[in-house]
Amino acid sequence: MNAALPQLSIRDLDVVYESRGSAHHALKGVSLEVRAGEMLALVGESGSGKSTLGRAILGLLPESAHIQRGSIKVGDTEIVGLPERALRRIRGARVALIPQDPAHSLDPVRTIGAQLVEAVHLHEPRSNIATTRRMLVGLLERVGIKEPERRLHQYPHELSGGMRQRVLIAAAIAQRPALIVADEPTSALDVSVQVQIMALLAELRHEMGTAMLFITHDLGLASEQADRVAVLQHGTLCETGETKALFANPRTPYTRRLLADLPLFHEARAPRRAEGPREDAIVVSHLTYAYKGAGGRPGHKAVRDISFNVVAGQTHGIVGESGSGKTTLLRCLLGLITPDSGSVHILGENPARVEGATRRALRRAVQFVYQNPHVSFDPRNRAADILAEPLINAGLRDRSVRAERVRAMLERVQLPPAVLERRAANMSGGQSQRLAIARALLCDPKILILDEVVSALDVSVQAEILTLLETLQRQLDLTYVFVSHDLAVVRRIADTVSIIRAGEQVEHGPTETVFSTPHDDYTKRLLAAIPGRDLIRPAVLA
Amino acid sequence: MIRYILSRAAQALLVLWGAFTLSFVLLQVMPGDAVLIKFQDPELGLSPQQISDIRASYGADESAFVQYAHVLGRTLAGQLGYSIETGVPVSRMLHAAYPTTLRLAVVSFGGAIMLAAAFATAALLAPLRPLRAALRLVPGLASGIPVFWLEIVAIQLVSFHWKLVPVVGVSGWAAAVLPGLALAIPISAPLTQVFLSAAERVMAQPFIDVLRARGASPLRILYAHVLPNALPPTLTISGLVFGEILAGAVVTETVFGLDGLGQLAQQAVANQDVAVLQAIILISVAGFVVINFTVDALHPLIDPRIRRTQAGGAA
Repeated sequence: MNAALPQLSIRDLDVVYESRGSAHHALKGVSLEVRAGEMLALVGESGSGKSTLGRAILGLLPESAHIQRGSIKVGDTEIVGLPERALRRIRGARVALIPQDPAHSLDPVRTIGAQLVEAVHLHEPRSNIATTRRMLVGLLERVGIKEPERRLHQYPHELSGGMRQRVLIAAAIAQRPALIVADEPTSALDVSVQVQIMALLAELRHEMGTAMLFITHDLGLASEQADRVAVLQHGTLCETGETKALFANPRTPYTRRLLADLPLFHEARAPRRAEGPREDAIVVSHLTYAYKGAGGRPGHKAVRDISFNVVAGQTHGIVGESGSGKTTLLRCLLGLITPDSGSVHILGENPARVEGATRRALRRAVQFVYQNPHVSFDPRNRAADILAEPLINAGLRDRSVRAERVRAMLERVQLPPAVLERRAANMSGGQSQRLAIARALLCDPKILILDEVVSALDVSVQAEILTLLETLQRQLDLTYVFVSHDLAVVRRIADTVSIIRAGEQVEHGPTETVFSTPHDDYTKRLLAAIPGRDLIRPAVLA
Repeated sequence: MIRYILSRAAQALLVLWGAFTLSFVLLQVMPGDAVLIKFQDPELGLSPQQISDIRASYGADESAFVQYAHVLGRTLAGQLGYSIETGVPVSRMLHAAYPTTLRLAVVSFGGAIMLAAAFATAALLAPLRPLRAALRLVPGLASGIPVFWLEIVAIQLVSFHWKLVPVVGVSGWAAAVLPGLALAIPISAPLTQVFLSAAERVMAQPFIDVLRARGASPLRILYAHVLPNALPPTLTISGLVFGEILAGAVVTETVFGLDGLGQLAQQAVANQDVAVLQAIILISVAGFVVINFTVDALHPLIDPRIRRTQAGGAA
């Protein structure tokens, strides 16, 4: 494999973003090579410049960015300085992109067939439509899509996320490109689908001898999939090497820290003994809820017969893939919908039944933190307004008292007072998540419902937020319901865990037990799908 | 689907009846009536007794309810009545005025669409960001231009100075060319604004980058992908704009001396010619209803994601 020709070679690449006179060096002196049939994983945190590199290779840098220095060669063609027309002939034909977000990467108003035919016709304008469609049927079969003829007539919204990503892969390989840039191709997909897609990419790579640049924030996934790994920090390549060697013996402190922050490296939460007998904060028994179908007919059962209880001061993890019924379950906990059968008791009250003052008190006692704080904040509001709101709602009129409580809360969530003047839109992911937690805590809750709160964050920030949540739980005696698709994260933070699949609770118990001796097949498969498991199995996972 | 069409038709009838009733009430509330305006001129030398006889002969002295029942019954039977001012059947007046308005609407709307398409293409694909930003401001300015001023300038330059299109002594389509094109400019402004903002939202989506990464040209992306995605909001605003011109463009008709619906409406208001006014209101509302229905029917053809929900929740 090492003798193979480099399909991509980058030398001393500098990319600069310019806005209003100030320049930001996104990439500084980056050099790397990817050979035919090889996968190079480009890992780094957000803002490290890994997506900029991917765009530079495709000649698709935004207008505000330009290549200051260096060379990018695809095969023996120099990309830097090539006119747009010539680039268009290379894009899609010799370099292809597999995008991050399959849900928004296909044109929603055109059929799958029309989009795939277009992908071919852009480079073979004279090819016959019927022949092309026959070729596409074969291609869709190759990427693992059943009933390809039918799919060609369907629209993107009729396909699942995994299937859409397969269609995008088919479009990418249609011209047998020498190089594929895969930009976080599985980060929007469920873990079990991720495994299938990565396997497909490996197969295609070996079969067609394509070089692949795999851009990812997930070190675990990189360790399993890539032949070599390049670590990017603030636009500089800080370490490149064979995957096994690099992970076994990381040379730079940055790589060591990235690895240490992987949730997998933390011990599973030891079963904690409550000081004295403690009451249950949440009791869910035999909860069933079905959405109403058309015309009031009983519809799809979203959750069936779910039971668990959460001891006050502890954390219950809920793990499930998309469509598993997690959201429905949370809506029942919050009293937004009334279960068809079974019951929910929060702090001894039934949230769907209480009225008046008790209902308001319960609403304040149970606070919700969302996955994406950028969406749940008004982007034009300053942090100070966002934090004052719950206090104003609680009837706290005195400005100075409010300011004092806000200041104390900032200290608790470890945010500098300077953020108060900043708008939500101008904060980093970690900062806005701390802000969201602060806002929830200002209601003096007993229970926090945390819905995928660390899923959108870099590993190092993820580790900080998890530590913060643990500290807050101890200090304020909080009870958590922690929803996540990431088993490694749940294993670190939860005392007890429920695994939910298609509305059914397939496994339930203390986290240690579920992770060390899973008895359900689905749980076993999920555990096996945790990326990077092999890397550290001897050290942490028994 | 049949049920959907029937329910829309029922809605349309309800809207027509509502507009009819509302306009009747408004015209009743106004002081005086058409008969008084026509006959109370002292020069006619009619005594109050004669005037009230005339009013009785028109049924203007009946109670509002009786008049309403009478007018509604007549309209339902397909009779639009007679103009109080001229005594001519209203249907004949409409028949004379409508072709002018329709020609003006077709020319101005067609012109507006072409203008909007050309301008939007330029504003989205211009090479430099500052140039695009500058072009983006033009529709807003264009919608601020007073129509009558624009039209007077058009007549002066295009017709009198350059002698390209005659405006005096022409009829039919030829008479609609210059006013139509002049009217197209202010009409195209809202179309362009709505389309541009929709197109910018579409162009920020990841699939546009994916298309560029496949080697598609900007023009191809714009016409094959951005256009159909940005069309629905543009279609909605187009319906409103088209409905408005169908109801008559008073200012343009006045400047160019055209006898369209707008002129007819203006005279009817001045004379409180209730029968004519109600007929114009009815025909305008009917125009809006038809256009809205067409727009709603087109949406699912453009966006497959709303097809299923409209078929009656067979999901």
